[in-house]
Amino acid sequence: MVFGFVTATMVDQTTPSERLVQRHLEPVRRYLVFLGCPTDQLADLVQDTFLAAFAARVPDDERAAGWLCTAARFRLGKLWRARRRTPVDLETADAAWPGFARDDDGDGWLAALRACVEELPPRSRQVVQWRYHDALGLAEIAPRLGLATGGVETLLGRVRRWLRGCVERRLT
Amino acid sequence: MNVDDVRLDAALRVLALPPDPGLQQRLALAAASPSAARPRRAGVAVGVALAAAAVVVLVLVATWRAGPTFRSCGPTCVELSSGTREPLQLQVGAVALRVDGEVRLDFGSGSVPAVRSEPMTRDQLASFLAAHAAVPMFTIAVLGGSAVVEAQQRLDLRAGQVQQVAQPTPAPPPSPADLAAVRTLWPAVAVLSDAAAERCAELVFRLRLQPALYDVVRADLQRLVAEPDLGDEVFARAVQLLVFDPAPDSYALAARLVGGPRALDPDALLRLSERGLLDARRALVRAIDGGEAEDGEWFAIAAHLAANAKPPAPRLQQVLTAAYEHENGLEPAVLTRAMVAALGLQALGDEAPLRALWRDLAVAVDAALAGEAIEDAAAMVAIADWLRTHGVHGTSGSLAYLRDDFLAQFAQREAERTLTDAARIRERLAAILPK
Repeated sequence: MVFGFVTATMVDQTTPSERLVQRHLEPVRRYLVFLGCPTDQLADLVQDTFLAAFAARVPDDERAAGWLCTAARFRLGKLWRARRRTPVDLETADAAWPGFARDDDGDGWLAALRACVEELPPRSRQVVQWRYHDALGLAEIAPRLGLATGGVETLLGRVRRWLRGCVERRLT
Repeated sequence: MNVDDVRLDAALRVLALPPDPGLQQRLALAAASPSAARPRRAGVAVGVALAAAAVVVLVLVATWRAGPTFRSCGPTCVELSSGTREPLQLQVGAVALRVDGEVRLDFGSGSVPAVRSEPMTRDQLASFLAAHAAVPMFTIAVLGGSAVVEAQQRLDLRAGQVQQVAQPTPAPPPSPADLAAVRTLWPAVAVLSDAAAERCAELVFRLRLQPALYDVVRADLQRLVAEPDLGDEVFARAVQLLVFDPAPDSYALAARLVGGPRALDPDALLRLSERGLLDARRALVRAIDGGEAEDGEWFAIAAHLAANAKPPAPRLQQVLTAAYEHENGLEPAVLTRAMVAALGLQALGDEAPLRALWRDLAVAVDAALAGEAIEDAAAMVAIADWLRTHGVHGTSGSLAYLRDDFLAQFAQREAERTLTDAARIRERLAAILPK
């Protein structure tokens, strides 16, 4: 809306910065969420990271992904320090990332996981939906399932274990 | 959770992540602007410069929703007129790009709805800012020193987030009204509200210039210390006064406190220990050897004792090793703690943690610089430099700073002043790393 009046005659070829966005926007978003970035801060952190990359003239080559991820991680750390809380162990999450990203930015992992979630029984699929898609807390899920909070935790633990095995089977 | 569990949990979050075409659009716009893109073929790019867009957006925002209280004061600055003589300027760290149903300005990596339209008093302004205290990179330039203090206190901002434009006015000496207040308040300090008692204590510290009244206060202090049913708050204040009190007989009072039935705060013990009170040092060592020091908050004291201990507590090494392993991070917020623990272990003859820390620090600084995290890199180097210079032999006052993250804030401020680019940071790092 604000930019409605901002007109730009687009160039007849994409610029390096535009290619950087096209190629790396989704991986950087994934990486930040993977590290536990709150969704209400995601757009801001991604935006800041890319604006810094534009300012630093980061070339769109094989080093770009590493540069962007490092910059994004430091920004997330800064956010957590400002909030004085660290909901996710950054180092452990960072150590888990390569196994997820592999050489396809996590596409393979996500495809396998999506298929595995589809295989879940309806009740388990529903609990995954509530927990991860709707971001409900255990206490909010519990009455919907007629369980105690501990019961939801146990159920989620079981679902996660099953999903882990399922994804591993599919990826191998 | 182990790494595999963390991976699955995180992957489920990623799976639930919806696309954000708006973000892509905004970034594509920013990327296409000449300031970001520098197209290689001449004569084809007729975009709008990112900085110009920011100015236009700010002006638009200021005139659209805000009343006369908002005014653009530069490409990255919005001034809030508070209705007082101290307008407050908000420095915008990044361009204002985000529009999602509501006008927002981006302050660094956060965003604040710009919705105030009526003149604000200073208190209203502080409330407005406090409501957005979670904004992570809220850089505020405040005109007027007292406003800086107010903003820091009310918003609980980190140093560096609030920039001081004007020098603060030095605190005035106690006025006749202050002195009268102490005369009235002090005799009743045991029953005062916390706020009134704190005010009273603050005035007492300034009363050293008024020996006659100070003596009266100290006489009452002696009476307070002897009082068996002293409430916790008043007891703590009495101890605080004794710790800072330079008068010789306060030493005797302090010794009575240490030997008394009530446990003293470790900070107070350390300060008394530094003043030469052996009973206080023994009490610290007893606490460490008794296992009280394993809650992660005592490590700076443990490191200090390790460097100065006479005799050392047998469990110092254990406390410091646990602290080092627990705090083994390199980002500015935890680097201080890791380094203090490593320096303490070095004082006990274990060099390995400090060697590993120096090695990891070089890598972390390099990564931070690669990620354009100049502030982080600068703060890490400044902290390392300060600790390398001062070690853990410093005063208990500086150790207290280590515990409450003061050093990280101090270092960040220093870094912002002296380490403003990658070249300087690398140069300083090279100078401090062991050869």
